[in-house]
Amino acid sequence: MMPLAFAHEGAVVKVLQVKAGRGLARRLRELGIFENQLLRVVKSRGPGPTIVEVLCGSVPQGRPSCVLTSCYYHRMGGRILLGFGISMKILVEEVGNQ
Amino acid sequence: MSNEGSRILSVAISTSLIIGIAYITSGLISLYNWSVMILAPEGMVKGILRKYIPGDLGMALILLSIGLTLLAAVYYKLRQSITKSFSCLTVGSTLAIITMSMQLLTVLASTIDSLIIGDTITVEGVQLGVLRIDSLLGYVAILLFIMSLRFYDKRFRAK
Amino acid sequence: MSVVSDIKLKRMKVALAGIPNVGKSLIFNQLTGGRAWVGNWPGVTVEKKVGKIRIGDNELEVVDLPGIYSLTAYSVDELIARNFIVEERPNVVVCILNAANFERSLYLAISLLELGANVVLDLNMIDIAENEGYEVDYVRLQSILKVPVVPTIATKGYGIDELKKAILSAMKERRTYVGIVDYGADVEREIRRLKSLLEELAPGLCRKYPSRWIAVKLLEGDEDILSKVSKLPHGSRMLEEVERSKRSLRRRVEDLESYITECRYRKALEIAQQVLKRIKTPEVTLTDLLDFVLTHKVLGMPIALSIMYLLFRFSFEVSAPLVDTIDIVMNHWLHDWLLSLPGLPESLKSFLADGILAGIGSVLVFLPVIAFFFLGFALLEDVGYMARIAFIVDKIFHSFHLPGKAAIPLVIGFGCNVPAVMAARTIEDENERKVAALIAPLSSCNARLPVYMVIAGAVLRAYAGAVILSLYALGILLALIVGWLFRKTIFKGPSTGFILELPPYLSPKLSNVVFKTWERTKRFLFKAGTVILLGVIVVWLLSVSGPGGYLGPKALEAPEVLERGWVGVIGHVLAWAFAPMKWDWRACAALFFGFIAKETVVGTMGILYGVGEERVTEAIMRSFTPLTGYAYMAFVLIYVPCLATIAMIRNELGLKYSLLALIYEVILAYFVALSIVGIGHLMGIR
Ligand SMILES: Nc1nc2c(ncn2[C@@H]2O[C@H](COP(=O)(O)OP(=O)(O)OP(=O)(O)O)[C@@H](O)[C@H]2O)c(=O)[nH]1
Ligand SMILES: [Mg+2]
Repeated sequence: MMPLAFAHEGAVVKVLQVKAGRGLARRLRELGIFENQLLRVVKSRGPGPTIVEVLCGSVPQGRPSCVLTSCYYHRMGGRILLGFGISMKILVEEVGNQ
Repeated sequence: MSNEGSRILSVAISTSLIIGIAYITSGLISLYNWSVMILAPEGMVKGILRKYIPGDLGMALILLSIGLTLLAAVYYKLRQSITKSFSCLTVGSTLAIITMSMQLLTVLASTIDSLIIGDTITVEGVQLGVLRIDSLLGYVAILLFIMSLRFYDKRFRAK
Repeated sequence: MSVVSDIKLKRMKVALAGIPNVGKSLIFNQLTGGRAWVGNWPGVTVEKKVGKIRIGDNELEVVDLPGIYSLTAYSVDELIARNFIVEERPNVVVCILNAANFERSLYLAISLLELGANVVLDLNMIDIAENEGYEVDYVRLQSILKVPVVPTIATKGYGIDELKKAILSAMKERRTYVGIVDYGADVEREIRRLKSLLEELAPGLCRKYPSRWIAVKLLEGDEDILSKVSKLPHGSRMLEEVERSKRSLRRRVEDLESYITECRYRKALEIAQQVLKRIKTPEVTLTDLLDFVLTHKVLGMPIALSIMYLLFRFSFEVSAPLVDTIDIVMNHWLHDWLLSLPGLPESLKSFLADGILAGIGSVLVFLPVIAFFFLGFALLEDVGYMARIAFIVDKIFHSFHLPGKAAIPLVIGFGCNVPAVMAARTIEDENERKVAALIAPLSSCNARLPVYMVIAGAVLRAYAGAVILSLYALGILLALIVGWLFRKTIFKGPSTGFILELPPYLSPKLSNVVFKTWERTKRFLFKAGTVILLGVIVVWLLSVSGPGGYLGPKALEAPEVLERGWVGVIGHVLAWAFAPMKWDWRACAALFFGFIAKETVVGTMGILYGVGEERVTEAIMRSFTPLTGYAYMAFVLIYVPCLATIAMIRNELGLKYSLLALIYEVILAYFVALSIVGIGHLMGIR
């Protein structure tokens, strides 16, 4: 378990915990970032701000963004830039690498 | 990847290596010329090729950025990341072309300006402007840009 | 159509809602022929904008809103949009969906449907989605959501007519779908219970909003709705019931709020799965390619600085011929022509030539520089680079306890500080937002540029370019330091960081770039014709009169006479205060008038230094050394932005903070100018 700010570029991570206040947690949830969601770290200034894309379930006709454990994931919408402060508040675990 | 694609890329990458080094070198020279100009009082130290590579902090910065980007293209190619390499190639050559165009625009503007305020226009002045290092290297970068476009067609154009 | 229904339609309100950067403002412009600001980054619009639209014989009121992700606001601009939709209940809400960011758009659309809004869906940016390799089956979407869906490409004007028609028919036939999300049997049971209670205890509220929506919001813990309910006669009873529902659900659902948002989110995903179709597989998109380098660890920063440098070169050097043309026309031809006019009284001639023309002319000369800057800036904005800057600088800004998003106001501030202060609205954290607004004026705006160009051009000659750039850097550096100081003292608090969705890179639209350049340049021209003109007239009046009475136009020909005028008095008093900096009294007087707007500094100089001189530049050259000139420019950079900016800070943060901004800037300016002179002396520079 580590803060998202420390994740490697290109890693696929699973969100374990969002240690943020109510408003922030809610906003993140609305963007698709909450417990058990998968994110791909597109950019990281390890440790620093990150750019992530949210991966959503195996959607056959979606846009494949990466292949993980032989299951297609597609990326949801635009990429999200998370500032340093927020990247430290999202705890993740690395589950794959591209 | 098609054979032709990989051939274009390797040509582009070798060109990129050469131009990249040229950019870095001229960036460093410009930096040197600049510090000579700032630190040494009037004309004590000569500086290198000052006519073509004037000492200018901003120009040095741009030359170094372009050089670094082009060399990064080589680096990523060596690490087998084609997409990343291609990215650097495209952005680097685009930036080089923009810089070149800016220099040419400036030459054009200052020529018109001389006309307006009634200064004489010297052939040498225009020549120096058009052959300044950032425009000179920019001409070569056009080649690089064309190559990267062709590579894009071969490799990435959506099927 | 009958007259009666016509009148009814005229009063109707249409709101444009959507997530940030979907093209709301562009569609607003296309619908109304209006001129809302369009730019390719989230958070361009931070204020609502009203326009009229004619469809056939009907005139409707259309409102462009800031972007929102849901009906729960998280920053000031979002609150504006949320309040408009929830409180004013527009007759039709056009929810604009981004086909290239479909799930998040859908989440908002679902929230609006739950609210019972009369929704028309506009599926925008289908061209970008297609580029990225997929398409949205909008017919299917229409049948799932039970509201009309219109596909559009706003940049090409495609589908706008259909959208108008859809809006018109929505006016006549209201379609809603409140129960779109199923929250699962347990929660649904509680919703039903609360719903019937609400209908009984709060009938008024239920007339305004669907009772189901109120029930869901109460369970979610929406602060606004909670406070609304608590103010009702049976409010406390109602809240008790909500607590009871929550307690009974606690065994099944851990955190009700996150459960409810997640349900909505999953619904959006589920619908997206049904309507998104892949049509081709592009391996990389242009955005991927560019972003790899432009936000690169090593390359990102130098490239960002290079782009800034190119922007400055473009505005300074390429505009040179135009600058000189204006100079020749205004300050030579027009000036000489005015003086040679026969039959004009001497004092009027002096007023026109040495007062107005000298003052305004010295400012207007820089119009091309400013226009070129805005042109380059609009290009950067429309390409989509702005949002990336926030990423590139975030780490540096973080060490000053500021969010990277605060870079956006600072960059906008290079153009003008007034919109820069406003742009701070999108910063989520209250403290960070205030600090960002307070430091935004330190970013060196275009109004300061004429001052730099006049003084640096006259005094620093060959180094002028480097010196001007160093002032821009100084502004940013001071902004960071002051920001840090504020965060350590008045606005303490943890850094929450920020969230910003990155827009795709787009090729800039010429018409939009030209329009924005023109609008911003026009503002400068307008200022020259009003505030600066006024300032210049005041300067002239104060020059030709003094404590000893009217001095006459002689004052503007002989320096000794001028010194006896009011300007002389003001200048000498200030020169005394600025004694360590050794500035000329005329320069000090110019600072005084620069309070109104920075351009007046140059306008005043144009008048005062022109006295008894052939060329203003030479007079300036004699009165400054490179060191005092630099200190003067730094002072101009830092002290009081301009009245308009102070007014904007007051508007955003209140009187207290606008005074704070005023005071800290004057003190800081004095301190910095003093240090520059002091350090310069120590280093042996004159
Ligand atoms: N290619 C393409 N670009 C579009 C389309 N619609 C809008 N844009 C571009 O998207 C960018 C954002 O447009 P805006 O109208 O400023 O978006 P907005 O929703 O008002 O954004 P905010 O005010 O920041 O919330 C601009 O650069 C537009 O040119 C479209 O259909 N296709
Ligand atoms: Mg907008």
